[in-house]
Amino acid sequence: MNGKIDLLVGQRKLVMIWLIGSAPVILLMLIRTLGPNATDIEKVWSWLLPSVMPTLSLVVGTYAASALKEADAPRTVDAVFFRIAVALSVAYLLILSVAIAAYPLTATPAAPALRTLERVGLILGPVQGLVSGCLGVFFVSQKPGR
Amino acid sequence: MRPALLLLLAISTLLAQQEDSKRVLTQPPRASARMRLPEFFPDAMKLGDVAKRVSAALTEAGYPDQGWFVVPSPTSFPPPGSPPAAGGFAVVTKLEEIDDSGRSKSGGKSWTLEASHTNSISFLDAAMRLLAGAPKGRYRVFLIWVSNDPASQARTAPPAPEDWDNFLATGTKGPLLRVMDKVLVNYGTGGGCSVFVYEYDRSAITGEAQFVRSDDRLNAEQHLKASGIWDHLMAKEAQKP
Repeated sequence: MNGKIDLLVGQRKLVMIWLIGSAPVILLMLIRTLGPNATDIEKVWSWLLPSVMPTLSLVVGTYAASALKEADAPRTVDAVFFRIAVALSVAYLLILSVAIAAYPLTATPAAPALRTLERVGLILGPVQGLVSGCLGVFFVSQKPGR
Repeated sequence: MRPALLLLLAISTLLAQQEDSKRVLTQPPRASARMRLPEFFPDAMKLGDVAKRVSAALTEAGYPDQGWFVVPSPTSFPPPGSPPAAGGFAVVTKLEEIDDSGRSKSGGKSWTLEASHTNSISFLDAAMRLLAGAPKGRYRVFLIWVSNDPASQARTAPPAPEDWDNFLATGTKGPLLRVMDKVLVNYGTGGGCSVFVYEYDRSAITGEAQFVRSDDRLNAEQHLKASGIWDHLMAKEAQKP
């Protein structure tokens, strides 16, 4: 633990976090979509997909592209920064999963699910900004490491 | 002094007539389900007697909040400015939340659109709901129509669920006995007692309520039996005055 980790290793771990973290929520939504209470579920999908897909596409797409490339000189990133990216990603996916899992239990006619999700979206917005900022370093920045 | 008294009497009569005309319902709105009820009170001589027993049956079944309307006789032709002759009455119950079997939701919160349908559910129900999503909220209003003339539904859509409270409030809290006691029961021209059920589904996701045009889940009789009104009407038949 000298404070640096390999960029590819960091990317791989973040890709796994995003794939494993978003899979249960998407699976749950698929089960609900095929179930008997699917009325208006498309509105939940329209809330969920823009919250997950841009980041998921970025991490998977970039990792796939780097997996096909010939290995350049090894690049490293700061381990603390990597941990921050992991923590923010986990927090973001956790908030998202709890919001999706819990809405059938908390929805009432006075506070329907969509309103609750929109409120959660107010919290998710800034967290998404931070997550995107961190992941951008791992998946977009092409500066060679030292 | 005497002309002033007569004028006051005339004004109060006119105001009473105007008030009565507000409580007139000419046709029931289009319903989700309807049925003609059996003649529960064959011994009743006046519509006032039928109204009193229907009111008592509704109260005992747990529907104390009622809106009563006068149904004008379509065969009467009153002089201009006078209210039409009464041919029957209609009573509306308050909007209630129901479960899939048609029973009113318990917990004393069934009488409002704001009611929660997540009151004290079991662990298994919670797990099922987590997987399957929240079910739609179901709401219902009864309109009981008793008239000497046959009832036909209007083509217009029924009120939105949030408007039923206003609709109920325009009726009187109890039957207009001073009007109903003057009308003799005579179902010979195809009249009788009918029930109209208005059902709404409310999405748990958007909170929007939709009128159920045709209820293929429960028919009007099943709604009446599940609500307890049927049994109380039967009991009132047994308790002859």
